Amino acid sequence: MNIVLQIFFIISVLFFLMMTIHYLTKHKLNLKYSLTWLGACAVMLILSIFPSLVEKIGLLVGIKTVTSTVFVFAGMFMLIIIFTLTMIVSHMNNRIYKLTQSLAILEKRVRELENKNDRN
Amino acid sequence: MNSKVLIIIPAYNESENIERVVDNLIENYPQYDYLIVNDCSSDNTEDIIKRRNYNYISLPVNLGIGGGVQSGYLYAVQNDYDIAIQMDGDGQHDPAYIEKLIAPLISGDADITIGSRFIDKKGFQTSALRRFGIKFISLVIRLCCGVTATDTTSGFRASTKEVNKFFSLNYAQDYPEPEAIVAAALNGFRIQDVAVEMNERMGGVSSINAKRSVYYMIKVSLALIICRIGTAKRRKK
Repeated sequence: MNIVLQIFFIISVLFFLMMTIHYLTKHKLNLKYSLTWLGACAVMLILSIFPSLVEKIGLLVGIKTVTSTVFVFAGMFMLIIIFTLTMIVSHMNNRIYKLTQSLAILEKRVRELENKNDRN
Repeated sequence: MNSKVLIIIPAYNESENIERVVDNLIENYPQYDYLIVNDCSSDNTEDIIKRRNYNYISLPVNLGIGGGVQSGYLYAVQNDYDIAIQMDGDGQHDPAYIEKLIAPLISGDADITIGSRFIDKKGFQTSALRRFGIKFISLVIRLCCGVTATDTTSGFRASTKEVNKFFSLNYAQDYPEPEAIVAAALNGFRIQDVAVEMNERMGGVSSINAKRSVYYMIKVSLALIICRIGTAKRRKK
């Protein structure tokens, strides 16, 4: 692989890694959800430093060109990430339901207590 | 009869009907408590129920019929009601049938009763297409869990304390009526049909229109099958 391209890849991955860590330290990303991204950074970094690995992995599953290998694995990775996100959204949805319901019942109690106080 | 009974009235944009429905309850059926669940209506439903000083909770976020009714069950559990009844806020359901609906629960013959307009075939029978849909869901339910429910989408139903507790923890979110039957049946609750007459809704719009009905059928059938598979697995454990 062209050395310029390789350096470009490594810098991009490092930039992405820094971005992830930056938002982690600012608490704008939960560590729980960022583990996938940190893992992806590690894999991408290794592959940019040793690009011949990609070729070997590709041949292992019968993909002849490096670009196809990259696209296939990137696609699979995206699928996993998006699926995980859908799961997280469903989980949050359930929590919002519970919160909304409890809030509404509490609001009713507060309203009634206030009315009682007003009358006294 | 000393059972504490709560009537849950889910209301989403029911400003045209809610007063008539609730006033009827207060005047003629004072032995039952009621709770209006205002599901974040965008019309003036909340103003009306506030001004009339009705017993209500108001969800700050629209949760849909499933989440709305579920908050009613949660309220029933928290306030120690023996029986909870679901009744639509649009005047389709006649509270005169409540006594008939809760009788099997009090005698211990059933855990859930569902008001069905197809047993005596009297009163409002809805369109042929909808009847076909309801029959189809009814068949799916019988295949899933062996329960016979003739009016699967009926939102006029009564349930005991144990069921209310179960529903307050697990209740389907959209189009929940058929799924609730299957979930309850698979968890060992006994379900019984009770003949009632229903009226055509007097105002407002039904939540299911023609466009959505195909989506409805697919979604409900799928939900029922998934519910069946999920519970089968849990049983093995």
